[in-house]
Amino acid sequence: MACFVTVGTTLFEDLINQVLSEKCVENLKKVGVKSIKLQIGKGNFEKSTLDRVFGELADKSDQGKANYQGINVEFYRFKPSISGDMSEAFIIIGHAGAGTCLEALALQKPFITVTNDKLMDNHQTELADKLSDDGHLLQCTPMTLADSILNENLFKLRPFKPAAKNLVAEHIRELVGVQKLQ
Amino acid sequence: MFFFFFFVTAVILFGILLVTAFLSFLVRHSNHSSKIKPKKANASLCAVLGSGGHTTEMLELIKNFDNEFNMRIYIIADTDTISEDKAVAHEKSRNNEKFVVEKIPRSREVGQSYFSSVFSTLNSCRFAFKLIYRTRPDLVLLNGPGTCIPVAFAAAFFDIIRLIDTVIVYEESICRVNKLSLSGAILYYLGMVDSLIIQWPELKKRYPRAIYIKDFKEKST
Repeated sequence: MACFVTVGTTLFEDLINQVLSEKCVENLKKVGVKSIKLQIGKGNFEKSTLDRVFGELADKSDQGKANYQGINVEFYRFKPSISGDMSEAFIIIGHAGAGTCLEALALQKPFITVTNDKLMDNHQTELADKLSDDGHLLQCTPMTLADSILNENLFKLRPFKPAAKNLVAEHIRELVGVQKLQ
Repeated sequence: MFFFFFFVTAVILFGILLVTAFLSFLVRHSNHSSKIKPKKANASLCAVLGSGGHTTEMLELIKNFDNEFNMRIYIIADTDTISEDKAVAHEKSRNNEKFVVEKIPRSREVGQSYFSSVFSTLNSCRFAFKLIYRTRPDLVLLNGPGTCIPVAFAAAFFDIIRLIDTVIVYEESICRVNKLSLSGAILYYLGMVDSLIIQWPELKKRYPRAIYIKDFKEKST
């Protein structure tokens, strides 16, 4: 029962700090999470978070492990592919990037996107907004993350069915005038 | 006086010729034309790989093609090595040797000044025209950022002067829910694409000539 947190290639320190706040960890435990894995990208934890969770870990570490309130916490910056961590996870919390959204939705797992409310005019969230309106994922800001974890809709998300690209391909073949090779 | 008269007439006639050529291009490439395309055994495909998510989406579509497109040209921005690796990996995975990766100068880097971007756009246009003239693709696939515009213009130009017969298809990114991207809007309003495919029904209301991706139906044969 792992919770996987990813910020992709963005800088989103509010999210990684907020996930490890006392309130969030407590709520994650309530829904049955036993371990937390974070992909933190370029950002760094705040000093207070580091002291509280990791004890004596240096300021700008690239990876680390700890046991905090009976939960295994682990973090790293980047990996060539995070799909392994995603498919192992029980709950996914991510930034609102399109790639992350689509990958998480394909796995059909409880999924929360956290919008960076400090970015002005963040058009990257257009897709996440729409998917949240349609009930495929939960959307929140760092401040409301703890409440979203306990939101009962998290476990009743509607599966997202992506469009069938083979039909598009068929349409294009027709336009060009070639036939599919058997 | 006579010279002036002939000059004006020549300009007007040339203008009429251009307009007619463009109109006939629009008719040939509009969704409503019901002409029967001559069947070909195989064709060449030219795809512009934008970057990041655009590349992923494009390869997702191209994965549905097999050897009916037996020659493939991938165009990438010259600063984008990741897309090149992805394209090469995809072609390796289907054991295809007949493909090339062409690098086009970026028309505008992030943060570049407006004035110097005019020159770099001209530069990428020159490159695109040479490339399309040389490769003459049967299909041009586009899905996104600025680099695809020069390629679209080049393909449309050579189609207007009837040097090649090219189908241009633009697939808007799934990220666009309420509004087409700038590239998409340019191609939509100029009518330069045979099909402009959108992934959300909201866009269909605003751009009725576009095709909603879930309106494609399985053929019952």
